[in-house]
Amino acid sequence: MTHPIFERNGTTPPRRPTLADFGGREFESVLRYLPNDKRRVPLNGYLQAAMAIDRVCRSIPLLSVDFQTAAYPGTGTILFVNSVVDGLTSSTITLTQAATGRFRIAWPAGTLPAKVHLTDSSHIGSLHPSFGCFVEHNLNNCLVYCYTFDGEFVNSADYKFNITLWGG
Amino acid sequence: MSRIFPVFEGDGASNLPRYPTANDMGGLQFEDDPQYRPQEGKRLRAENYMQLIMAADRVCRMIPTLVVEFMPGASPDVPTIITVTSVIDAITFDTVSISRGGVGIYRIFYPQNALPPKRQMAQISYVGSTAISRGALVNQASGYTDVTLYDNLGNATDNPLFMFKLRLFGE
Repeated sequence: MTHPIFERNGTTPPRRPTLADFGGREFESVLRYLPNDKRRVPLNGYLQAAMAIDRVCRSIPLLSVDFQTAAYPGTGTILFVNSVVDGLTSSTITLTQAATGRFRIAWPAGTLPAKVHLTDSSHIGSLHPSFGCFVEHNLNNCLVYCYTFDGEFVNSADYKFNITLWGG
Repeated sequence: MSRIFPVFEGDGASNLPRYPTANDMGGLQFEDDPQYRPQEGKRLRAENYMQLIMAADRVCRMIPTLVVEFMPGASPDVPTIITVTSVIDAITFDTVSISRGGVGIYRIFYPQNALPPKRQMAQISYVGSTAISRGALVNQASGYTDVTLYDNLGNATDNPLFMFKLRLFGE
Protein backbone atom coordinates (compact mmCIF):
# COMPACT_ATOMS: atom_id res chain seq x y z
CA MET A 1 0.00 0.00 0.00
CA THR A 2 1.19 3.46 -0.80
CA HIS A 3 1.74 6.02 1.94
CA PRO A 4 -0.39 9.18 2.46
CA ILE A 5 1.39 12.19 0.98
CA PHE A 6 0.39 14.27 4.01
CA GLU A 7 2.60 12.03 6.15
CA ARG A 8 6.34 11.46 6.37
CA ASN A 9 7.57 8.28 4.67
CA GLY A 10 11.09 7.42 5.71
CA THR A 11 13.24 10.25 4.40
CA THR A 12 10.47 11.66 2.21
CA PRO A 13 9.12 14.70 4.04
CA PRO A 14 5.37 15.21 4.45
CA ARG A 15 3.67 17.65 2.08
CA ARG A 16 0.26 18.59 0.78
CA PRO A 17 -0.93 16.33 -2.05
CA THR A 18 -1.29 17.82 -5.52
CA LEU A 19 -3.02 16.82 -8.72
CA ALA A 20 0.14 15.03 -9.91
CA ASP A 21 -0.24 12.58 -7.03
CA PHE A 22 -3.66 11.68 -8.36
CA GLY A 23 -2.35 10.90 -11.84
CA GLY A 24 -2.17 14.40 -13.33
CA ARG A 25 -4.62 15.74 -15.87
CA GLU A 26 -3.12 14.56 -19.14
CA PHE A 27 -5.58 11.74 -19.63
CA GLU A 28 -7.82 10.97 -22.54
CA SER A 29 -10.74 8.59 -22.91
CA VAL A 30 -9.86 5.23 -24.45
CA LEU A 31 -11.95 4.90 -27.60
CA ARG A 32 -12.48 1.21 -27.12
CA TYR A 33 -13.90 1.73 -23.64
CA LEU A 34 -15.78 4.98 -23.81
CA PRO A 35 -17.50 6.26 -20.68
CA ASN A 36 -20.75 4.54 -19.97
CA ASP A 37 -23.44 6.29 -18.00
CA LYS A 38 -23.70 3.57 -15.44
CA ARG A 39 -20.56 1.50 -15.72
CA ARG A 40 -17.55 3.65 -16.58
CA VAL A 41 -16.65 6.89 -14.90
CA PRO A 42 -16.15 9.63 -17.49
CA LEU A 43 -12.60 10.91 -17.66
CA ASN A 44 -13.83 14.39 -16.92
CA GLY A 45 -15.56 13.14 -13.80
CA TYR A 46 -12.39 11.69 -12.33
CA LEU A 47 -10.31 14.72 -13.26
CA GLN A 48 -12.83 17.13 -11.78
CA ALA A 49 -12.86 15.14 -8.54
CA ALA A 50 -9.06 15.09 -8.49
CA MET A 51 -8.79 18.82 -9.18
CA ALA A 52 -11.34 19.57 -6.49
CA ILE A 53 -9.42 17.59 -3.90
CA ASP A 54 -6.13 19.11 -5.07
CA ARG A 55 -7.48 22.59 -4.44
CA VAL A 56 -9.12 21.79 -1.14
CA CYS A 57 -5.82 20.31 0.06
CA ARG A 58 -4.18 23.70 -0.42
CA SER A 59 -6.39 25.47 2.04
CA ILE A 60 -7.22 23.15 4.90
CA PRO A 61 -5.57 23.28 8.32
CA LEU A 62 -3.44 20.25 9.18
CA LEU A 63 -3.70 20.07 12.95
CA SER A 64 -6.22 21.35 15.46
CA VAL A 65 -5.81 21.03 19.21
CA ASP A 66 -8.47 21.97 21.79
CA PHE A 67 -7.20 22.25 25.33
CA GLN A 68 -8.32 23.32 28.78
CA THR A 69 -6.14 25.52 30.92
CA ALA A 70 -5.03 24.88 34.52
CA ALA A 71 -3.74 26.88 37.45
CA TYR A 72 0.04 27.11 37.26
CA PRO A 73 2.01 24.84 37.50
CA GLY A 74 -0.66 22.41 36.30
CA THR A 75 -0.23 21.18 32.77
CA GLY A 76 -3.75 21.66 31.44
CA THR A 77 -5.73 19.06 29.54
CA ILE A 78 -5.88 18.19 25.87
CA LEU A 79 -9.53 17.80 24.87
CA PHE A 80 -9.49 17.06 21.15
CA VAL A 81 -6.78 16.51 18.54
CA ASN A 82 -7.82 16.52 14.90
CA SER A 83 -5.27 16.12 12.12
CA VAL A 84 -4.62 14.99 8.57
CA VAL A 85 -1.71 12.99 9.99
CA ASP A 86 -2.77 9.70 11.55
CA GLY A 87 0.13 9.72 14.01
CA LEU A 88 -0.90 13.01 15.58
CA THR A 89 -3.29 12.13 18.38
CA SER A 90 -3.84 12.99 22.03
CA SER A 91 -1.15 10.38 22.75
CA THR A 92 1.55 12.08 20.70
CA ILE A 93 0.70 15.74 21.28
CA THR A 94 1.96 17.12 24.56
CA LEU A 95 0.67 20.05 26.58
CA THR A 96 2.71 21.78 29.27
CA GLN A 97 2.48 25.11 31.07
CA ALA A 98 5.73 27.02 30.69
CA ALA A 99 4.65 29.88 32.95
CA THR A 100 1.33 31.16 34.22
CA GLY A 101 -1.09 31.20 31.28
CA ARG A 102 1.58 30.24 28.75
CA PHE A 103 0.87 26.80 27.38
CA ARG A 104 3.20 24.88 25.12
CA ILE A 105 1.77 22.38 22.65
CA ALA A 106 4.34 20.13 21.01
CA TRP A 107 4.14 17.56 18.24
CA PRO A 108 6.74 15.11 16.92
CA ALA A 109 9.23 16.98 14.76
CA GLY A 110 8.94 16.50 11.03
CA THR A 111 5.44 15.07 11.07
CA LEU A 112 3.63 18.01 9.47
CA PRO A 113 3.95 19.41 5.95
CA ALA A 114 5.47 22.86 5.53
CA LYS A 115 3.53 25.79 6.92
CA VAL A 116 1.41 27.78 4.44
CA HIS A 117 -0.22 30.15 6.93
CA LEU A 118 0.46 31.46 10.39
CA THR A 119 -1.01 29.49 13.27
CA ASP A 120 -4.44 30.48 14.56
CA SER A 121 -5.38 30.52 18.20
CA SER A 122 -8.77 31.24 19.68
CA HIS A 123 -10.76 31.11 22.87
CA ILE A 124 -13.48 28.45 22.66
CA GLY A 125 -14.98 28.50 26.14
CA SER A 126 -15.91 27.56 28.74
CA LEU A 127 -16.89 29.56 31.86
CA HIS A 128 -15.71 33.09 31.19
CA PRO A 129 -15.09 35.28 28.19
CA SER A 130 -11.46 35.91 27.37
CA PHE A 131 -9.49 38.85 26.09
CA GLY A 132 -8.07 36.30 23.66
CA CYS A 133 -4.79 34.60 23.07
CA PHE A 134 -1.91 34.67 20.69
CA VAL A 135 0.50 32.03 19.60
CA GLU A 136 4.21 31.82 18.95
CA HIS A 137 4.97 29.09 16.43
CA ASN A 138 8.28 27.26 16.80
CA LEU A 139 9.87 24.31 15.04
CA ASN A 140 7.81 21.55 16.62
CA ASN A 141 5.77 23.40 19.19
CA CYS A 142 3.57 26.40 19.79
CA LEU A 143 3.56 28.64 22.82
CA VAL A 144 0.05 29.94 23.42
CA TYR A 145 -0.40 33.05 25.59
CA CYS A 146 -3.85 32.77 27.17
CA TYR A 147 -5.57 35.76 28.72
CA THR A 148 -8.55 36.38 30.96
CA PHE A 149 -11.11 38.98 30.03
CA ASP A 150 -9.12 41.58 31.97
CA GLY A 151 -5.95 40.87 30.07
CA GLU A 152 -4.27 38.91 32.86
CA PHE A 153 -2.67 35.57 32.18
CA VAL A 154 -5.10 32.72 32.77
CA ASN A 155 -4.43 30.92 36.03
CA SER A 156 -7.33 28.51 36.43
CA ALA A 157 -9.07 25.64 34.71
CA ASP A 158 -11.95 27.82 33.56
CA TYR A 159 -10.84 28.41 30.00
CA LYS A 160 -10.57 26.44 26.78
CA PHE A 161 -8.57 27.41 23.75
CA ASN A 162 -7.89 26.06 20.30
CA ILE A 163 -4.84 26.25 18.09
CA THR A 164 -5.08 25.49 14.41
CA LEU A 165 -1.92 24.79 12.44
CA TRP A 166 -1.47 25.11 8.68
CA GLY A 167 1.81 23.22 8.69
CA GLY A 168 4.75 22.51 10.94
CA MET B 1 -18.28 -1.57 -0.71
CA SER B 2 -18.99 2.02 -1.65
CA ARG B 3 -22.17 3.51 -0.25
CA ILE B 4 -24.82 5.22 -2.29
CA PHE B 5 -25.74 7.73 0.37
CA PRO B 6 -23.39 10.45 1.61
CA VAL B 7 -21.54 9.01 4.57
CA PHE B 8 -21.60 12.46 6.19
CA GLU B 9 -25.39 12.17 6.34
CA GLY B 10 -25.98 8.49 6.97
CA ASP B 11 -28.91 6.63 5.47
CA GLY B 12 -31.52 7.53 8.05
CA ALA B 13 -31.42 3.98 9.41
CA SER B 14 -28.57 1.98 10.92
CA ASN B 15 -25.85 3.92 9.15
CA LEU B 16 -25.51 7.00 11.30
CA PRO B 17 -23.88 10.21 10.10
CA ARG B 18 -20.08 10.13 10.29
CA TYR B 19 -17.02 11.49 8.58
CA PRO B 20 -16.18 9.51 5.42
CA THR B 21 -12.95 7.55 5.31
CA ALA B 22 -10.88 5.96 2.56
CA ASN B 23 -12.73 2.69 3.16
CA ASP B 24 -15.95 4.34 2.03
CA MET B 25 -14.24 5.25 -1.23
CA GLY B 26 -13.11 1.74 -2.05
CA GLY B 27 -10.31 1.18 0.43
CA LEU B 28 -6.55 1.15 0.06
CA GLN B 29 -5.92 -2.38 -1.16
CA PHE B 30 -5.98 -1.73 -4.90
CA GLU B 31 -3.15 -2.84 -7.15
CA ASP B 32 -2.50 -2.39 -10.83
CA ASP B 33 -4.21 -5.04 -12.95
CA PRO B 34 -1.46 -7.11 -14.61
CA GLN B 35 -3.64 -7.59 -17.70
CA TYR B 36 -4.49 -3.89 -18.06
CA ARG B 37 -1.41 -2.18 -16.76
CA PRO B 38 -1.32 1.58 -16.17
CA GLN B 39 -0.81 3.47 -19.37
CA GLU B 40 0.36 7.05 -19.56
CA GLY B 41 -2.62 9.27 -20.18
CA LYS B 42 -5.05 6.40 -20.51
CA ARG B 43 -5.07 4.09 -17.54
CA LEU B 44 -4.71 5.34 -14.04
CA ARG B 45 -2.33 3.76 -11.57
CA ALA B 46 -3.94 2.18 -8.54
CA GLU B 47 -1.67 4.38 -6.46
CA ASN B 48 -3.10 7.53 -8.01
CA TYR B 49 -6.62 6.60 -7.09
CA MET B 50 -5.60 5.63 -3.58
CA GLN B 51 -3.76 8.92 -3.13
CA LEU B 52 -6.92 10.72 -4.16
CA ILE B 53 -9.09 8.93 -1.63
CA MET B 54 -6.51 9.27 1.14
CA ALA B 55 -6.40 13.00 0.47
CA ALA B 56 -10.20 13.17 0.45
CA ASP B 57 -10.33 11.21 3.72
CA ARG B 58 -7.98 13.66 5.41
CA VAL B 59 -9.62 16.75 3.99
CA CYS B 60 -12.96 15.58 5.33
CA ARG B 61 -11.54 15.35 8.86
CA MET B 62 -10.62 18.99 8.98
CA ILE B 63 -13.62 20.81 7.59
CA PRO B 64 -16.45 22.23 9.67
CA THR B 65 -19.68 20.32 9.13
CA LEU B 66 -21.84 23.36 9.80
CA VAL B 67 -21.09 27.08 9.63
CA VAL B 68 -23.70 29.62 10.73
CA GLU B 69 -23.36 33.38 10.70
CA PHE B 70 -25.87 35.33 12.74
CA MET B 71 -26.76 38.66 14.34
CA PRO B 72 -28.16 39.07 17.85
CA GLY B 73 -31.18 41.25 18.52
CA ALA B 74 -33.55 41.99 21.38
CA SER B 75 -37.08 43.29 20.85
CA PRO B 76 -38.00 45.18 18.74
CA ASP B 77 -35.08 43.71 16.79
CA VAL B 78 -34.88 39.97 16.32
CA PRO B 79 -31.86 37.67 16.12
CA THR B 80 -31.15 36.79 12.53
CA ILE B 81 -29.45 33.95 10.75
CA ILE B 82 -27.38 35.41 7.93
CA THR B 83 -25.76 32.43 6.21
CA VAL B 84 -25.71 28.67 6.61
CA THR B 85 -23.39 26.17 4.95
CA SER B 86 -23.14 22.50 5.80
CA VAL B 87 -21.95 19.16 4.54
CA ILE B 88 -25.45 17.90 5.32
CA ASP B 89 -28.03 18.60 2.61
CA ALA B 90 -30.85 18.73 5.16
CA ILE B 91 -29.18 21.49 7.13
CA THR B 92 -30.04 24.66 5.29
CA PHE B 93 -31.08 28.21 5.93
CA ASP B 94 -34.62 26.87 6.35
CA THR B 95 -33.75 24.26 8.98
CA VAL B 96 -31.46 26.37 11.16
CA SER B 97 -33.02 28.83 13.58
CA ILE B 98 -32.01 31.08 16.44
CA SER B 99 -33.74 32.10 19.66
CA ARG B 100 -32.89 34.52 22.45
CA GLY B 101 -32.82 33.33 26.05
CA GLY B 102 -31.72 36.52 27.77
CA VAL B 103 -29.32 39.38 27.30
CA GLY B 104 -26.55 38.12 25.05
CA ILE B 105 -27.76 34.54 25.35
CA TYR B 106 -28.74 32.81 22.14
CA ARG B 107 -29.49 29.26 21.07
CA ILE B 108 -28.90 28.11 17.53
CA PHE B 109 -30.97 25.12 16.50
CA TYR B 110 -30.31 22.60 13.73
CA PRO B 111 -31.73 19.15 13.02
CA GLN B 112 -30.85 16.79 15.86
CA ASN B 113 -28.60 13.81 15.10
CA ALA B 114 -27.99 15.06 11.59
CA LEU B 115 -24.32 15.82 12.13
CA PRO B 116 -21.54 13.24 12.55
CA PRO B 117 -19.86 12.76 15.95
CA LYS B 118 -17.72 15.67 17.05
CA ARG B 119 -14.04 15.67 16.02
CA GLN B 120 -13.23 18.89 17.82
CA MET B 121 -14.97 21.58 19.80
CA ALA B 122 -17.22 24.23 18.32
CA GLN B 123 -15.67 27.59 17.52
CA ILE B 124 -17.23 31.01 17.48
CA SER B 125 -15.68 34.17 16.17
CA TYR B 126 -16.67 37.77 15.89
CA VAL B 127 -16.95 38.84 12.26
CA GLY B 128 -18.26 42.41 12.40
CA SER B 129 -19.68 44.74 11.62
CA THR B 130 -19.65 48.23 13.15
CA ALA B 131 -19.09 47.54 16.84
CA ILE B 132 -16.27 45.78 18.62
CA SER B 133 -16.65 42.57 20.57
CA ARG B 134 -14.36 40.99 23.07
CA GLY B 135 -15.59 37.53 22.37
CA ALA B 136 -18.23 34.94 22.98
CA LEU B 137 -18.74 31.68 24.76
CA VAL B 138 -20.11 28.58 23.17
CA ASN B 139 -21.64 25.43 24.62
CA GLN B 140 -22.61 22.63 22.28
CA ALA B 141 -25.38 20.08 22.72
CA SER B 142 -27.25 17.71 20.42
CA GLY B 143 -29.43 19.69 18.05
CA TYR B 144 -28.44 23.10 19.33
CA THR B 145 -25.56 25.25 20.46
CA ASP B 146 -25.76 27.97 23.10
CA VAL B 147 -23.69 31.09 22.71
CA THR B 148 -23.17 34.09 24.96
CA LEU B 149 -22.10 37.27 23.26
CA TYR B 150 -20.08 40.11 24.77
CA ASP B 151 -19.31 43.64 23.78
CA ASN B 152 -15.95 45.32 24.15
CA LEU B 153 -16.63 46.18 27.80
CA GLY B 154 -17.43 42.61 28.70
CA ASN B 155 -21.16 43.14 28.96
CA ALA B 156 -23.47 40.57 27.47
CA THR B 157 -24.93 42.15 24.39
CA ASP B 158 -27.94 42.03 22.10
CA ASN B 159 -26.55 44.72 19.86
CA PRO B 160 -27.65 43.88 16.31
CA LEU B 161 -24.55 45.62 14.97
CA PHE B 162 -22.57 42.54 15.93
CA MET B 163 -22.21 39.51 13.73
CA PHE B 164 -20.74 36.19 14.76
CA LYS B 165 -19.73 33.01 13.00
CA LEU B 166 -20.26 29.61 14.56
CA ARG B 167 -18.39 26.57 13.28
CA LEU B 168 -19.29 23.04 14.29
CA PHE B 169 -17.09 20.01 13.66
CA GLY B 170 -19.76 17.43 14.32
CA GLU B 171 -21.99 17.27 17.36
